[in-house]
Amino acid sequence: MRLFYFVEILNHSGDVQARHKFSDLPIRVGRNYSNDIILDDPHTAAEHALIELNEHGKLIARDLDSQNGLKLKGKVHAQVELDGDTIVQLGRTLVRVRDSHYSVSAEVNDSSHKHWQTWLMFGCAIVMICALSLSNSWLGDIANNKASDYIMDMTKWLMSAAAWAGIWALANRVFSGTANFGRHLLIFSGGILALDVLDQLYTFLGFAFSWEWFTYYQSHLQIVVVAITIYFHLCLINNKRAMLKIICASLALLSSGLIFMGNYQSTNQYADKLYMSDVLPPAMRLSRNHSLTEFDHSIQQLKADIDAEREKALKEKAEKNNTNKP
Amino acid sequence: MTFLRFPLLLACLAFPAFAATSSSSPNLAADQISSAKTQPSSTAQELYAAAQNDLLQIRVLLKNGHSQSGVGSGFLIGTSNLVITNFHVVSKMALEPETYFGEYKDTQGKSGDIELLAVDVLHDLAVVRINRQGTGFFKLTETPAPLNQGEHLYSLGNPLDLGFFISEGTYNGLSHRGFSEQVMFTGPVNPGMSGGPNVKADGQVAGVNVAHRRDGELVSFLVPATYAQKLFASITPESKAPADFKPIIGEQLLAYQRVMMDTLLATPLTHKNLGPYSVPVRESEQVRCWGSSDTKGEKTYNTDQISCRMESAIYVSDDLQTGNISIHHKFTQTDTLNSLRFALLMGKFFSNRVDSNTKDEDVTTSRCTEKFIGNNNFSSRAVVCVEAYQKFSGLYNFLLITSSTDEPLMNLQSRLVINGTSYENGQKFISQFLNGLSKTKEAK
Repeated sequence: MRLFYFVEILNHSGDVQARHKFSDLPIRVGRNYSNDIILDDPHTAAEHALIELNEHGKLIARDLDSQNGLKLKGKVHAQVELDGDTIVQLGRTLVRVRDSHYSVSAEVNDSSHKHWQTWLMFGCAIVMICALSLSNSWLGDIANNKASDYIMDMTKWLMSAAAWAGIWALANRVFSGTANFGRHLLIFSGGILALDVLDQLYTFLGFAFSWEWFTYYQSHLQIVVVAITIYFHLCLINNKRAMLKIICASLALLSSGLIFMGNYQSTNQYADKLYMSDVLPPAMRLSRNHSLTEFDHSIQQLKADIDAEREKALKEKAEKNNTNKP
Repeated sequence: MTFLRFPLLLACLAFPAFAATSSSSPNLAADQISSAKTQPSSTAQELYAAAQNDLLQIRVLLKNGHSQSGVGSGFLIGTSNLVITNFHVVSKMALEPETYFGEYKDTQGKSGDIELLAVDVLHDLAVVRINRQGTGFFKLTETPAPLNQGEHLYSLGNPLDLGFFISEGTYNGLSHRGFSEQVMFTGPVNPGMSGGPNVKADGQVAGVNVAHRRDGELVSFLVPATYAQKLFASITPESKAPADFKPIIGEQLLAYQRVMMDTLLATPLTHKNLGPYSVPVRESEQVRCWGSSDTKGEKTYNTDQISCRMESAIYVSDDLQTGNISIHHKFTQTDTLNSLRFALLMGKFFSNRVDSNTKDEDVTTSRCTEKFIGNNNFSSRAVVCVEAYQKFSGLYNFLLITSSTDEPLMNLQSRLVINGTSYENGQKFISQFLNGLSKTKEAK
């Protein structure tokens, strides 16, 4: 079988933009029209490089004294050995060379395009959103709402879900070809389900066991859930999981930090709220009642806190006045 | 602008009868004013002619830029160089002397510096010294002759910075709605006349203009002359202006809260019934209670409320009025909602009951403590939040909110606000209040 050489020009995502087939070496690359492959990149020389075999019979690219040279992972080389997976940069053009003996990777099983699976995901998502909307409207229904009110509410939820999933699907389509709308919708509904369940759990634990401090920092748990949801959305678009994990985790930390900072700046405390305002039916109480004496004692203890707070405020003010003076 | 203060407005907006009269009355008020203008009594004419040399406008100005930040009135006592005015006219000079200064302007348009010598925050009075003497028209005596209801009185001052006015009205007894009484005067007293004198025809001072009711017509209040006399007598020619008024004001506020809390705690709290609950209220001359009920047909729950508040407060600055309490009870029950939905609704009622927790100049941010408490067969979630006054040490604002947790389909939420009290007294009142909450009978 005759041996052919394929020179592939890649874009920055690694996809092939153009593929040239050659039966003979060397192959000349550059901007001149005398070359075998003509580059339109102004950062390449007229005669930029030569693709040939070296003394060991290996494919190499050799620089022809160009100004920008051959770059491999950002470093300039006079010649670069090409093993089929090496991507060498000429000016700003990415080039990969393979011969016809190159063994390609195994066939990928087509799992994503089974029709019934897409519809199943889509259906699950819709059911979850409808159930959430109904339970929320029912719990918040204090005016004997009619069925039409419930349906209106549900429509709002579905429309927001569609809008959210739609934006992700659009991004998915732009960056990796397929929209994956059903999957994004499923991720979204999973996310809001988690938010809702955690919210109820928080309220329940706070009320049942009188763990009020537990509810003071609710927003941070919500941030974690949102970050995880966004991570799954991003995973569908891009496969670099490790990097996405780092991005989502740092975004979550950043938002938490901003909330802490904002709270502290406006109220001198890190908590989101001053007290636990949730009320649940008496049957959900699991903690004991305190006596008035105990409560009075904790009010007494508050005095030290509030006096310290006053000292701090006065000190801050004094410092401010000092810095204001020229 | 520091005009007359209006501590009394909100109390009565909740009272529909007042709202009805005030909406129909502008013509009436105009008639009264025009009739007063067209037929000036000769007494008023003579009185103004005799008084004008001792009548002053007091202006508080920004040191930076000399623009005026508040105006009021004042008057020279006897032949001294001392001027009586309201504390709320000169409060900025007392609290922020580095930013504000004051000056006077007389009826001839001459002006000069004023020096703040003494304040009486509780009665809203201040004494300032100026660089000229009075002619002796305005007289303060230790034992003023008692006034009779209906007796003619004249208020003088510079309303709305328009010019010097004299207005005629009648004496209508004393108001005991605050912890220190005020003279009720039926006559126009407008913003800017604060601190101006109110006199009998012979120049005998009856009081000092201080406030009027915005929801009423010509219902004005005066600080009784005896308090002005007391403050005036405390000053000797050698008296020097204190370097810092804050500790003095703080002391006065502490003394006031002692009187206020002693009076409020002197007798046991009154009890009212709301559903199966018995709730404590304080009904007295100073604290007025109002009830309301909401039982609209289409609602799934109905509420009954009792609201008590003091109709007076101590003015310290535009942003800080203190020395008052309010009590609010709200009883809600349902026969259509289930317990979970009802509880979530009550949670909404129970949230955001702390007015503001952002940093400001006057008080610190709140610190709270909360617990489930059980007492008198009654169990509830109770939250107490405390703020400390930054400028005055030993004074605090207390807030207590409770939400009952013993009935699935009934709920009682109470709110007690105590502003400007010592820690001990605040704690004492809260403890009495919580002790007063009880369940008298089992719900059906």
